Amino acid sequence: MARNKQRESTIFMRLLVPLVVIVLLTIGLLVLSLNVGGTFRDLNSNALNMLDERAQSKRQSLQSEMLGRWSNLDATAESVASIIRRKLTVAGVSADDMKTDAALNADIMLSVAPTLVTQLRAGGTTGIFVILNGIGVADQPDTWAGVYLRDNDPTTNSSTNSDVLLLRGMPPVSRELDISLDSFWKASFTFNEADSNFFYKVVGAVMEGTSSEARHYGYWCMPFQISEGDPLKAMTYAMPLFDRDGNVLGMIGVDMTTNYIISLLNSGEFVREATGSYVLGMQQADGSIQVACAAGASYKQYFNAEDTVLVPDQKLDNNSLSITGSRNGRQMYASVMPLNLYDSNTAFENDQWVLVGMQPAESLMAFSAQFRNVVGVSVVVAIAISLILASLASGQLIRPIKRLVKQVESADPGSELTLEKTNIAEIDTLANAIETLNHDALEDAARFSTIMQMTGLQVGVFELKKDEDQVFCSPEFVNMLDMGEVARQNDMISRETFGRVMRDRFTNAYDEDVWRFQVRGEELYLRYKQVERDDRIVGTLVDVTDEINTRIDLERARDIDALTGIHNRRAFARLTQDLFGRRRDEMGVSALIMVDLDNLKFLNSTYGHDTGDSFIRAFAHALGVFEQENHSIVARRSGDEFYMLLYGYDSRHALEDHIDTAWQQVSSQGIVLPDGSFYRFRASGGMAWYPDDAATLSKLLHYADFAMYKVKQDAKGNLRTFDSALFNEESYLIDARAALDRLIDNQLLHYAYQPIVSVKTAELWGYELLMRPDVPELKNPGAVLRLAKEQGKLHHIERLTWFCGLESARVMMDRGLLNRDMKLFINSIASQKMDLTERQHIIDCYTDLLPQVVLEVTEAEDNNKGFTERKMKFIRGNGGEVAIDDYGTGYNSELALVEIPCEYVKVDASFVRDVDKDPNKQALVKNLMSYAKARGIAVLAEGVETRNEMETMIGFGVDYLQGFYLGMPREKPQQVLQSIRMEIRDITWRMQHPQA
Amino acid sequence: MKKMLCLLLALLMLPLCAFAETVKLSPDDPQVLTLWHYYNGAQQQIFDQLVLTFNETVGMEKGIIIEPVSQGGVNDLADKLMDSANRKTGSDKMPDIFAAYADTAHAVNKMGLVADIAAYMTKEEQNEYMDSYMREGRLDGNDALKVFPIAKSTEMMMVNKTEWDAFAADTGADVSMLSTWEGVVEAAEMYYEWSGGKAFFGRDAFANYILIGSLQLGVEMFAVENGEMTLNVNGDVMRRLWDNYVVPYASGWFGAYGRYRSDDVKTGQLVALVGSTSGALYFPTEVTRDDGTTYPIECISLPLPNFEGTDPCAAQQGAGMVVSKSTPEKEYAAVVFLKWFTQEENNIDFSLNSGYLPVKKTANEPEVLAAAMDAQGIDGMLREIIEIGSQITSTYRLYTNNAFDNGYEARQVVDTSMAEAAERALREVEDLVNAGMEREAAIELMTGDDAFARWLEDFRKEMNTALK
Repeated sequence: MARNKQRESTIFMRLLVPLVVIVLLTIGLLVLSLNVGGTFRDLNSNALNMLDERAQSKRQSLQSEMLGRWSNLDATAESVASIIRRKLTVAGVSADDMKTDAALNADIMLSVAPTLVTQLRAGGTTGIFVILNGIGVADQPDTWAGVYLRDNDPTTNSSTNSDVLLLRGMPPVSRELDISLDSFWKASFTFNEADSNFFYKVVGAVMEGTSSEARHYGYWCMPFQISEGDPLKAMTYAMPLFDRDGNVLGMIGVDMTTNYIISLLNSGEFVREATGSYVLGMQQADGSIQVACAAGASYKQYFNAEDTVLVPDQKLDNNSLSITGSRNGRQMYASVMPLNLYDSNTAFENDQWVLVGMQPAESLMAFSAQFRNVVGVSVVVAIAISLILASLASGQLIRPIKRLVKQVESADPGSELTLEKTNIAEIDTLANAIETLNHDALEDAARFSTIMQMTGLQVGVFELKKDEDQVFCSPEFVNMLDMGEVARQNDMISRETFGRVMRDRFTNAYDEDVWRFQVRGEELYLRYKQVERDDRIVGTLVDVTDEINTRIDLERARDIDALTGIHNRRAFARLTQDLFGRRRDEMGVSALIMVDLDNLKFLNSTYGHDTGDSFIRAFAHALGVFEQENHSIVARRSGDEFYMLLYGYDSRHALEDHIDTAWQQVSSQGIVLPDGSFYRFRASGGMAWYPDDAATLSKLLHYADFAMYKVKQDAKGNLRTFDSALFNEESYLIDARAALDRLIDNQLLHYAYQPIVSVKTAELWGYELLMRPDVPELKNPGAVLRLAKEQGKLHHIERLTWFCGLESARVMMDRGLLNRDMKLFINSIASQKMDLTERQHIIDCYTDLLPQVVLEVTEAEDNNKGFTERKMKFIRGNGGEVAIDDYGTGYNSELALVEIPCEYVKVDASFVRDVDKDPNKQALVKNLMSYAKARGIAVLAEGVETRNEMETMIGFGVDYLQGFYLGMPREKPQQVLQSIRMEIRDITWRMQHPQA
Repeated sequence: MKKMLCLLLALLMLPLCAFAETVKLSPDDPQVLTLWHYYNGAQQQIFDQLVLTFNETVGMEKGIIIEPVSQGGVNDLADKLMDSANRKTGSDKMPDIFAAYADTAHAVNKMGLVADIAAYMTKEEQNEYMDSYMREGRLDGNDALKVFPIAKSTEMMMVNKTEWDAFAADTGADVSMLSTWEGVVEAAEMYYEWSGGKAFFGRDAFANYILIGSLQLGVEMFAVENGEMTLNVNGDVMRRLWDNYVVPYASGWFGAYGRYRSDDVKTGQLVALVGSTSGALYFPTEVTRDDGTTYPIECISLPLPNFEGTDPCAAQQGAGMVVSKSTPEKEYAAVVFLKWFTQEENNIDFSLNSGYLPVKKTANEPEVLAAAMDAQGIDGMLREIIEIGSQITSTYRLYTNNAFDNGYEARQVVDTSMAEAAERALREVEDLVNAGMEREAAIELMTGDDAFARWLEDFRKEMNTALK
């Protein structure tokens, strides 16, 4: 069968393929005729013709502008020449004198310039120039005299000459005509080789030429930069100025900036609305086009700005060109139209200027592409319809064959097969052969069943075919599962019954594939395995009862504690894991109890280990009272420790009663010691509740352990429940205390610097040094202080404040991050004194810093005035100053201000918060200000966080500002943003100049 | 069939688009935006270069092509723009982005042609820009941002060092004199004597002298609140301005010859000028005499002088960019470009090469600027200009009046009235001297109390006409 598979195909396909081939051939012919008939080509060439027309019309308008207007200089050239001649005559000199007399040339150009302005206005060009055949600056032979004027926007004219720039010309020209100097202005012309074609080409042509007509030498020059460094490019037209004898007086020319030409090319719907572009350029002999300037978005999409030459890659049907975009690699079609700028037989007739209309191939051919798509879609639809019709026809023929196949497939293999006649001779013969085959197969099946019985193995087998209603079951299978009562025929059981029996029997799994059964009062273990193959499932059942019983005995031995005979730690773990995992539903309310015998050591050392062991054994036995209806697991953990898990209770109350009773019972028992005395059990226990305290075993264990630990610590011999509040408190305290010790011992803290700004100067004035603990357990200085106070370690913190704070400042100064004139605000703890050695140490190490220090004192409840005063005296004695901190809160009120002499008072942040909105706060601050000002105490506002707060506080006349708005505390002293400083300056300025 | 499908798809997409927060651009169908500016020379060069970089990077990726067009001067640009806005025949289509001063932007905005740039920016993004620059761009007095700052300038003083050194060596004049207007007048008089009658100083943008001077002396001439302008002209203040400009001008100590004072320094007519920081870049490296010969000069850059005893003040100037109202795609694309252009590194790049000052707070920190200049190896005159500019922004109060109706006309009056009075006085003094009068007496006659009173009356009249 498998060998034939490769060549196998359906009758359906054999009919369908030839039909489809015929359809495809027909459609192919249609498409071919469209191509050969030229329909597509005509559409394409129509589009190209359109492009030609566009290029043609732009060419005409541009050419008439170039020839009729821009280069129409004859009249102006004549009047310029006559001005020059008159000037020469008046001066009594000849044209040759211009070569050496710079002053003469300057005078001539001053007279010529107004004519040029007139022509610039009339001619519609962006520039005009005249270069005299003479020296520009005395004794500088490489300079040429002349004037060059530029008007970047010839479409609008100014009544003054404000829109005209002088590119070249002597200063008096600028002053006389009131024309401003261009950024790249020079007094005279100088020419370098690179960008002087516009000049030398004409000069060269005149030298070689014979014509006396100036315009025969007229030369259109590709765009270039007139001045080095000027990004503006322009193309020029220039021609010589002859006098009457044919001597060259100089040159006259105009320029058109590329910007201007682009703006001309941009006009019209081709560029603005269609995707067209225009290029003005010069066509080379090899057909490539040198670009002078290009206009249009599509050109920019296709070509890079620095491309100067367009190289066509092929010629299209109507002489249009196709050019590949250097930017995106896609095609543009181009129509190249020559501009006839030069008469024949003139000097530059071989320069072929062209105007190129361009359009992306895909947009130009959009219509043709759309037509192609329509044809394409039609072809696909035609093919689809043909396929459907062909398959319908084929289907008609193969229907009887399919019916026969169905009969064979659905036939019952257990009974004789009879097939319907199709009345197609070949197929009926095939059907007869199938009937015979079926008969033989039935006989074989009967034989197989007999063999199975004869083997006598305790193996049961069933076979389930997926599409049949009956399941084959061997007699052993039926026997093993005690299915005797189930009606059956020829070893076959109905599928429904089979399913029900299997579901009923297989309820008690022992492990992965072994199941426990109660059959006829006996416990049986059967291993079940099944194999699934294509259309059937075959299953086997083997009796493994003996093997499993052996294993169960072994496991039991492993789980029992040898000394006490109760579960060991390992068994406890296994059983509880099972309970917390698979059997969690059975947990109900549970309690985990840990018990520890109190006096084992004493017994062991006094009466020997045997006594100790029997004490443990007796205790384990006594714990039996906790066990109730299989709802408990009691185990020995190790030595004198025991675990108990009591589970499955409905209420905590019930379980508590049970535990109380049991605990009392246990406590009343004991053992008789070798000396005959009765020794009562004494044990400490802790318990944790499920689910009240925790839902996981590990947590319950931890909590019960903690509870037991507490009992052992303060009331041995009791059983106590876990207290979570106590736990949280203690565990935090244990961690935090250690953290504080680490902080103090290793000086694990650093200082942050928050900027303080002076309102008067709007400059940075100082920093407050803010302690930052470096231990993760203590997040902020508040926590440190609280804990230190509890632990009586505030003095250490005060020391650290001084030493670490000053050391930090010293380091910052050494690194150049902190200026010598910055104030350093340091927070002192009022209740702590500094002893003599500490003060001496500070003087020894930091005496130079102390004048910068401002000691922040707070008036707290437990203030020791003596300490504070001594510290203030100390700091003042060393040049420092004192500030009252947190003014306005708690104890730091007006009284403090009276009692503590200070230089500064810091208004607490709570007063600054929203001070701009709260009239009460405003009144308080005002009050403080007047008091402080009267006593010459400077006021500092803390916690300024918004511009409005800052503005209000400045309004009240505070002297210094501190807060997030002015700068966050940072590890390194930061500058204050210039924008903030400007704001302060702005606010004070406005306050001082209310009328502005 | 294909069209039907497209239509169907489009209909399905419609509700999606309505809720889409950001506008979608496609690199395959790029938005081509025209941008009109008035940069020339070196400024145009760096501007074009940055635009090219944008087009080839972010623009290429997102589908945005910026087409910059230089319209020559700022006035040319404003004229063409007003033509386009009024749809005059033959005028160009409105550009998608254009550079404009507040006055022009105000006028176009009133025609409803200006897009709100803030709609395409988050509050955080807007906060990154200098507050006073943003304030200037919120023309409607609400959160809408109509003018986007891309580069700002202020005014400073530039001095021909070569000439000054020679003068100072002979007379003992000190550069510190040039920090106050009174000092400038004194130095100019000394120079006049020393040079045998040559003018020392001149200035452009005369309106700034009046507006900043008046403000500095305590009176904001155009006080604008909610678009309503109150005119404040104070006689005493104007007299002090008069005494420090018209008197020295009529005496020949100050001067104005070519169209711009920078032209006069280039041609050796003046020694010192006050001008825009952006123009300072063009301060010449040589002086060209009337016969075309040249000699090299060096320059001194100085902060803008102030009146004695006043707080420093300077003009905040430089056009911003305005985005025309069009499709959301175009407006969004325009803002993408503007944001890119003002990113710290690009903005500093532009500033360092053009003499403008950057617009973001961070980019204005002196340390950031100094580091950027070190990185680009910028020193010499350009570095001095940037440093002076930065110094002015941090220590001076920068001022520009808010836009108001007829603001352009009113500014014209301020720009010309006193300057023209000075020019007239000079001519008349010359005439009187030629007629035989003592120069001192002639100057007193033409610039004294009566002359001033006459001018002030004229000035008030002109101003009233302009504001009508």
